[in-house]
Amino acid sequence: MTPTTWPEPFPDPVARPADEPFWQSVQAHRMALQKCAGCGHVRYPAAAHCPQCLSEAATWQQIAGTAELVSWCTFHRQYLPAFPPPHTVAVGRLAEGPLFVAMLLDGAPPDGAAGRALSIDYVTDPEGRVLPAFRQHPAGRDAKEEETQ
Amino acid sequence: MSAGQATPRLSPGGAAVIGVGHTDWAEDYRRTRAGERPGTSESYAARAFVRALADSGIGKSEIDGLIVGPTTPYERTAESLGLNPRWGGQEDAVGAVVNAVMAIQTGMAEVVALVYGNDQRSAKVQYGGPQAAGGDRYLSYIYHAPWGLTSQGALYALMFQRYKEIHGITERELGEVAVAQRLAASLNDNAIMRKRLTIEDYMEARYICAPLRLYDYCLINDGGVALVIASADRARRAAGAAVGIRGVGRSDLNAGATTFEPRLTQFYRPAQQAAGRASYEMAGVGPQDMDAVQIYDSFSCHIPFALEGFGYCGEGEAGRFMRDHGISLERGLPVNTAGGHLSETYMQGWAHQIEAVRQVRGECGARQVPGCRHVQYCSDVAGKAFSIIYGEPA
Ligand SMILES: [Zn+2]
Repeated sequence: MTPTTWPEPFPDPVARPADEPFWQSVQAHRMALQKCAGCGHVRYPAAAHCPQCLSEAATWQQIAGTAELVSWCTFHRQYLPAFPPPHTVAVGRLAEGPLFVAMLLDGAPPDGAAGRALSIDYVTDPEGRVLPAFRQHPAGRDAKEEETQ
Repeated sequence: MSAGQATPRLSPGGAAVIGVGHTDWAEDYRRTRAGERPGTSESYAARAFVRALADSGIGKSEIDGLIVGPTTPYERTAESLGLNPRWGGQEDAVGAVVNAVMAIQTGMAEVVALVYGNDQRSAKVQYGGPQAAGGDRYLSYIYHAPWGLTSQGALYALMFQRYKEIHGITERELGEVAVAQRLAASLNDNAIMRKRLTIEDYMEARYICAPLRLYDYCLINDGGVALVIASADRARRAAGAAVGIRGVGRSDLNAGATTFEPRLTQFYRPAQQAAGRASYEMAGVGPQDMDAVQIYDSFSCHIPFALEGFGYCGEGEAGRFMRDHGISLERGLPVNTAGGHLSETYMQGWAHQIEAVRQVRGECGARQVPGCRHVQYCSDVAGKAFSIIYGEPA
């Protein structure tokens, strides 16, 4: 599969030492989240303690890469050089539980699209930095099915 | 309320607002647009304080408590006003009122000045982009910037889209907010945006971050607001018209805040319900007793969410409530009677407090709600829900 690229450098993330393993996993196209060794709760963003049971013990677990569309918005005004309008950002609920925010690579969905299946893809900027992003492959499939019906 | 939890109470009389003051933000807006710099955060705060003090009729020496807003440093603000209080703090608008009440109730202070000034327009404060304001307090404001999610408006666009998905509200129904508040502003000499709007004007405006449009966004302007709050006992001896703070309530939703969990799955409803209930119980009144409501409105969609969460209509009914019942000075429940953040002035909730006080005093002229006895203030910024009930002094 050809890698997906982005024409402009992505903005820097907030510098949080707890996020370093997350960014390393993303760079390797194997996005991972922290899983509590005490109670199994998967948390995002990363933190030293589990917010459910307060345990410090945790492992990093690669995610399945699937999510369900919860909401989205489309920027018609440019705030950041990397994202000329229209730019759509979605919130998806990952199969592991947490909500996750990322750009939606195939444009704004129509009203009523909440609940659609999303998948995680990876996008690389000109500096080689990788971000996870959402795709709504099933949306394309829905559209084709609608045509044939 | 769960068993064993103490019910918060105000002692007989509670606290009352005895003075309010503000700067001339409409005039200052014209001046900042012309490239002038009519003030700094500190000088706006001081101007508003001088006016609030004059309104209260008390002397500066009687002030023994001070709360400054988040936009000016505490010490420097106190120094510039020559105040050495025996109790002090720094808070946002609603937190300042609640903390002043608590300080008075516990005897830490008897007369508390609340002082806010903000030169956000002339200082070009950024609410979106890499240096977005508030990122030091709310990780969600900056955490998702690598993916292009920035600006608080975008967070409300996500929230409103989710609400559309679940409850089917239309963008036209949301337009009722901008139209109603502009009507209020048209009757307010000190409002910045006074030209009446129609729903058609609203629908034709450009999207900033869809599904939110230009008129769903608050203004960015300079100004200052001050209040003097005193014990009920001291308020009775003050020259000015005292307005009682009859009930307060607060409830937070912090779990999952950075990924918008309470925002997108609950619309902050449980926090709004708990804060509302606490304030209603304390005041002995309910939503049905309110003559007007002031709602923190950095974005228009705060209004439908608050109407549901604070008990003015049922879950999922806010769109119909706004369209059929009405939320304006002309029809239904008057909301944001001075024009709010969208049309009067963006004073981050501070101007809403003095508008509530003035409505109860009955001094609002063309925008006065007839027979106004109780006004509720509601806010839910970043899932910290508050309610304050203003009314005649106990
Ligand atoms: Zn745990």
